[in-house]
Amino acid sequence: MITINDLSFKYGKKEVLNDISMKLEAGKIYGLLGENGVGKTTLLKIISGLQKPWKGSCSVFGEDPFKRTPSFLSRIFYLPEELEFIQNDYSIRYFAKINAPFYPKFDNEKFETILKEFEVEGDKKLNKLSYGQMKKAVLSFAIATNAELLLLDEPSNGLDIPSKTLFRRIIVQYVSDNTCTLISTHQVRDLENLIDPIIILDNKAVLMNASLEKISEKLYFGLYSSVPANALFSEPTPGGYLCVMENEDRGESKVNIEALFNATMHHKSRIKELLV
Amino acid sequence: MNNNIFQFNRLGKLFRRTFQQNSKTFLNNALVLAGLPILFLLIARLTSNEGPELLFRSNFLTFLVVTIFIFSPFFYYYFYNHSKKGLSEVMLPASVLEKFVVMQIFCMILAPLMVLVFYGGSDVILSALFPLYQGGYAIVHFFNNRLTTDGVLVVFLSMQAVFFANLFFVRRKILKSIASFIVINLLIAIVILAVVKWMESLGYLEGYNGNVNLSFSERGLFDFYRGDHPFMIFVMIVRILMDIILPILFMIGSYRLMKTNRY
Repeated sequence: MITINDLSFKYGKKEVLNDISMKLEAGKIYGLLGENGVGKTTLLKIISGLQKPWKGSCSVFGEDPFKRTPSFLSRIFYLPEELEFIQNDYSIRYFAKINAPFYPKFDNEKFETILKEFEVEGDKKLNKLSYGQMKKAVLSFAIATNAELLLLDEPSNGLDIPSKTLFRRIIVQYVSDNTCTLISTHQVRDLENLIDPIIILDNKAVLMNASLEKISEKLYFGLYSSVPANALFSEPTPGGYLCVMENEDRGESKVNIEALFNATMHHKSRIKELLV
Repeated sequence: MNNNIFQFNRLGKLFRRTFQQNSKTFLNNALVLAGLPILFLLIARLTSNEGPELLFRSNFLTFLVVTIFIFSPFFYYYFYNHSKKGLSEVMLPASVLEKFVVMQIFCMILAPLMVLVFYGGSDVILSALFPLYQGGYAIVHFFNNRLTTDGVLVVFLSMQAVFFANLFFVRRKILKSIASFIVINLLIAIVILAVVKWMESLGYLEGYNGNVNLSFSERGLFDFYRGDHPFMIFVMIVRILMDIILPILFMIGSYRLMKTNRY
């Protein structure tokens, strides 16, 4: 669905992405992780056609996204972190009424159901909604478009704790099976049990693009009373130390995404070797 | 096969969306425009025994039509190239050509038409209802005396320049547009003056006693005649440049900006 080859991108002279390559498939919910400023949003913008690569190529559904053709745009939905584009003097229902005709697979019933589940007042003016409510309103529309590619930039920002749980459930329940969802975030705990595979961007490169199954095959996440010498990363927790180690026949363990991210940041080359 | 360049179906949807999106603005504008002639009549009756003069009403209508026509890209599409606010337009599944056509039609036809219908219509109704207080129709006077081909071409060039500037500049676009228009006009004047001086030094101006400010009533845009004075040919070329070539260049530039803008 998405093929990125040796892609580089610069803002002026500042290089943001450098020779990155990856493939993303339909039917998966990818988590795009990385520290602030590593190029997560830029990558989403390139995939959605808002930016053009400086070098290399990005192909989505076999076409160049920067051409921004109507058929391409009707198959994707990009939800940016900041919602200035939607702060209008009308309701989300009116927004859906005027924009839905451009999305051939838009499902109004699904839209109303998600709005109800999110407890968003569909008739309240968008510029009168709180940031979190507005985000839930646009998310409802985004999912209801049944787009084949959903690009969500920090979707859990601004959501309260119950809404974050609800968000995870709604994504799992309502996003179509053949949709490729790419969620960029630096709040990994919000997306635990949702994202798989995981992509980690750092210093202008892809450090990891692996499924949870593969990660759990190569790395072991365990609770220890003291930190083992070969731990790649450790963190004190109430019951001892949460440690990340290379999986040397310890069996499967539940991947802790935050620990994985920190371990990757501390041992970039080793984890890249293990998981690429 | 899906046509990704132009479809009347999508164009229709875009028109409908633009109306729906701006319905409140249109309604407010319509009310204000329709209210202005009433306000003028009331003020005139309160301050003197006579109603507002036809010339004043017609001049005001001309001012409104020209202002709305020229600045409509700023009014309706100010945020089109804004990196955040513009996303609702750029990510809308329609082709750039369709978006461009809808924007042009809104700015060139519907925005000035709204002034004519609501301001002009209100004026007509008032004149019909109160013929003793208000004589003549501003809209008739406008079409008979103000609407000239030369005027339309000048306003068309200005509007296309504003349309382009609205897409070219991202921040402080009104200020930058005005500044750049002043600079461009000065440059054009300097170039024209330099060419005239050069022609004069070569003796091409000798024997020329015609008009340098041609209008359509005197001569059509492409009416070159055998035996025309070289200076007349130069004036005709400048006219074609200003009335045809520059607006087309601005339109091509605007379309190109819409197609290649990065967000």
